[in-house]
Amino acid sequence: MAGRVVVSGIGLITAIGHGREAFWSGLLQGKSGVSPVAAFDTARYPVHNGAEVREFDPANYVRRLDVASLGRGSQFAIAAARLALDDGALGAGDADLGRCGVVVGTTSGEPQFIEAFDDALVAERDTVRVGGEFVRRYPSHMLAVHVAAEFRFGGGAITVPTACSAGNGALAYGCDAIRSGAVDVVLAGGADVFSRITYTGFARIGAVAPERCQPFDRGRKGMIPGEGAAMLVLESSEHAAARGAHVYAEVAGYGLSCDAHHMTSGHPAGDGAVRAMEMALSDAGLEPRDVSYISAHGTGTAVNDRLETLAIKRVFGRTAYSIPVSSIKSMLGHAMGAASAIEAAACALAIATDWVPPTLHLEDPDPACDLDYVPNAARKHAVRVAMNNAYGFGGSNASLLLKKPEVAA
Amino acid sequence: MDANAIRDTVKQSIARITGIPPDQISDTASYTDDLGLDSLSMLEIAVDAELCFRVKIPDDRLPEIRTVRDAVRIVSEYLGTPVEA
Amino acid sequence: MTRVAITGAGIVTPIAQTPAELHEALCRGVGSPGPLPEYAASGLTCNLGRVVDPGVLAEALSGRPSSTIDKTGQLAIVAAQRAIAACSLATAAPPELGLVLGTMFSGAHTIGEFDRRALTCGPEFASPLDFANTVLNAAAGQTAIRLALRGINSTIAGGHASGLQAIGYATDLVAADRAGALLAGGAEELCLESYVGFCRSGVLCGTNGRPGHVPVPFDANRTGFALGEGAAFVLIESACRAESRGVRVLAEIAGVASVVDPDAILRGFCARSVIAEGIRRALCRAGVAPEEIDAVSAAANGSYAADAEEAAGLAEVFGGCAALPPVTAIKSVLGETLGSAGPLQVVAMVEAMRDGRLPGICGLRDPGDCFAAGSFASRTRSVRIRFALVTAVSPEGGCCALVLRAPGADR
Repeated sequence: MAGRVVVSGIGLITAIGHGREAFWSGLLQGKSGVSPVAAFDTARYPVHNGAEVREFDPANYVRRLDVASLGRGSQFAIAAARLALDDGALGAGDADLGRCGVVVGTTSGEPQFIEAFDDALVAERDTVRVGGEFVRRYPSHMLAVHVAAEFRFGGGAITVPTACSAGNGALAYGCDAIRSGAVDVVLAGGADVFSRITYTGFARIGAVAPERCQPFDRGRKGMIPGEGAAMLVLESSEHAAARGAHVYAEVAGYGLSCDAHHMTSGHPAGDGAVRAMEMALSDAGLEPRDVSYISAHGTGTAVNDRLETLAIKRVFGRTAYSIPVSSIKSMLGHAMGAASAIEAAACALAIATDWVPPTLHLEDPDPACDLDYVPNAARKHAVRVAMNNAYGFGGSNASLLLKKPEVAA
Repeated sequence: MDANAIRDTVKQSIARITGIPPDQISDTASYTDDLGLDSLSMLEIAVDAELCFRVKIPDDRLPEIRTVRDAVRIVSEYLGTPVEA
Repeated sequence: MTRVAITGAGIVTPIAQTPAELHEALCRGVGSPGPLPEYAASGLTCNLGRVVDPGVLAEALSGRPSSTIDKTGQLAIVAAQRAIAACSLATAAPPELGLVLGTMFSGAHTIGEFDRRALTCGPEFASPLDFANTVLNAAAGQTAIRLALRGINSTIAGGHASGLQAIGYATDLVAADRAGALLAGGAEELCLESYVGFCRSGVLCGTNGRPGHVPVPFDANRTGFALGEGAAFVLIESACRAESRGVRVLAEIAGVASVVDPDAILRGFCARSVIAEGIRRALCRAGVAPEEIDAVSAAANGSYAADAEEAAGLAEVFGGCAALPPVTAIKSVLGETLGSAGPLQVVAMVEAMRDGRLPGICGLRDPGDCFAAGSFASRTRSVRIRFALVTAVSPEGGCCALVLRAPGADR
């Protein structure tokens, strides 16, 4: 079996704060990032709330590249990456940059550029206003390429655009790249920006809640679209030890599966979700009873929360009732491809601090959702192993397991 | 006249999605049990009709549309109040 | 490390529907991309390209409704189902066959149409079914549903190198025993959004001031590339598994590496030194020396600077232009097919190994001074290929190199 992979740095841009400290204290305080949408006019929509990132100035984070050449997605990714590298005390002299890679998960990439393309085409009935920058900035791999360019990494840069499970998918990819020996360090995570395309789509299919996100509550009405980014410094344990890096958690394993059932609805018995969790446990050499905390996908839709609860019970049996399960989407909304990366960061911090974040707005639990969802208040809890679950359009399921560095498999 | 136009539009939508020729889609065939449509497809068919006839059916009435006949009935109700597009 | 074998391949392209047909067409040199009627009156200064005949897709998908799947998804499904059919998986289908798909633009046309309809008619009239296809992994999701693929389902975006990187990722997964078998490859549709985009950025032939339309890789008079479209998947599994199933190994993937040039976006192309590094890493992982490579399938597509840089990168690795093995560039016929390019190059090279012939670079008249005339030729040649190198290079900096080993080649 290949070497061990650790998390040695965490950086985030979120609707409740930027950087590890602001993010974590915000989560534990139950801070909400939900507010009326500011990015565009929602008058013609049936819903009006979102979880947008506030007070973000890319100039604070972008030093090498020209900010004006970067889409907002790339700005988020670079910002989270810089915060992660600073957090992990990983400077240019601490690693062979040719053996450092970048993997960014996303759902939409840089939608503002195709939206501008469409604005021009609709207004002019012609593509005459589309410029040369569209093809240089729009494609989703530019998120990763820009991060690599900003920090001069040479060990590969790709984007994993697997929708709402992309963050976990990127972390799994990064972990494997390190285990294969191709690279020593990977900046891995996810980034997504608030976009009218995404908001329009979710609103049209009736998936968006009018007020707030209430995972597992009987009165839940859907998700709240959000945005943000999280990048984690993944490092081989040898490389981290050699430079005396602080380690938050170790990547214990992961599982990836596909429902192969429907593009937007999960498998009715949660089969794919169950397989992903079981594969992750098997990969990590752990038993269900070893898991201390589950960070749920928990979007707040009627279907997801019920199916996810069912899937957890199928994997964990009676043990499910003694494992705290929370959804931080109750606070951050659904940051799409960034969501599971942000949630992975939360898992790493839960392990490092022995606190679990709450599920906010849980006032009247759905009888079909009867697990311990850490309602409304954060809780001190020994977290040795954390499971992070994510499910995306296209039926992609991804479960990631993190553990305290000293837990033996 | 309007009812026929609505019926044809709805059957065209169903045909596009399912591959079943319009003349083989009965007015009373169940969307779910007979035509195998899922919720996303049923929503698509409703939006196609809304777009074609410039109407807006409130979301809470959509679950009433379980057959072509239901669609014709409900779209007709809202034809009197077309939506500005 | 588990040895990784290719046991099947499936393609859908404008000029061929099977790997053998593709090889024949490339060996005959059926010509460069020609005018596209749909873009002729557009006012765009390039209107060359190759598109898949819609009838081909309709026929391949007949029997099950497919109108809710967009073109990118349809390309992926057809190529994937052809790959499965080609390797007799029906006799021993793994319970959880997975898919890794590379694409640069995904369903950009669907995304654009969805957005434009909402803009024109109002967000309340947006199409729910189109929304399902706006996620960048839609093609992989649709393929999984259509073919009941319940294993790992991943999508890789790396610009022009997406597809080869997808094969690289899948190779690593199989080599690490994370998956028993995977379909790996790519799909890319030629659409209004990408076509206009590339035109406006001056990379297509006829859009950048260089005279004429010469989308010929490595030619001294090349003026840029022409777009193509298509999809290709290879079925990969461990060599042991293939042997125990009694299926023929078409080739082994001996090594893959991915690197990136962090300065490429400032320069406009990936530097020769980075391309050379990517190739060296792949050779090292394969345990193969440069002099053992019998043929190269290059990423070159007619781009003025990028083609030269790739040739220089190859020369760096092989010890000079004179020491280069025969080089082919299939984009001379297919055009630049972005996410499906690397996989098509792999499929074509596997056929070249089987047949003992390397296709010439179609339309090549003058390789120019820095290219050794012997290695870059327009004529198809007999070559015994034991080890081959396939490269994929994206102008934003991504570079992937893959080493193939022919069945029976000594190790």
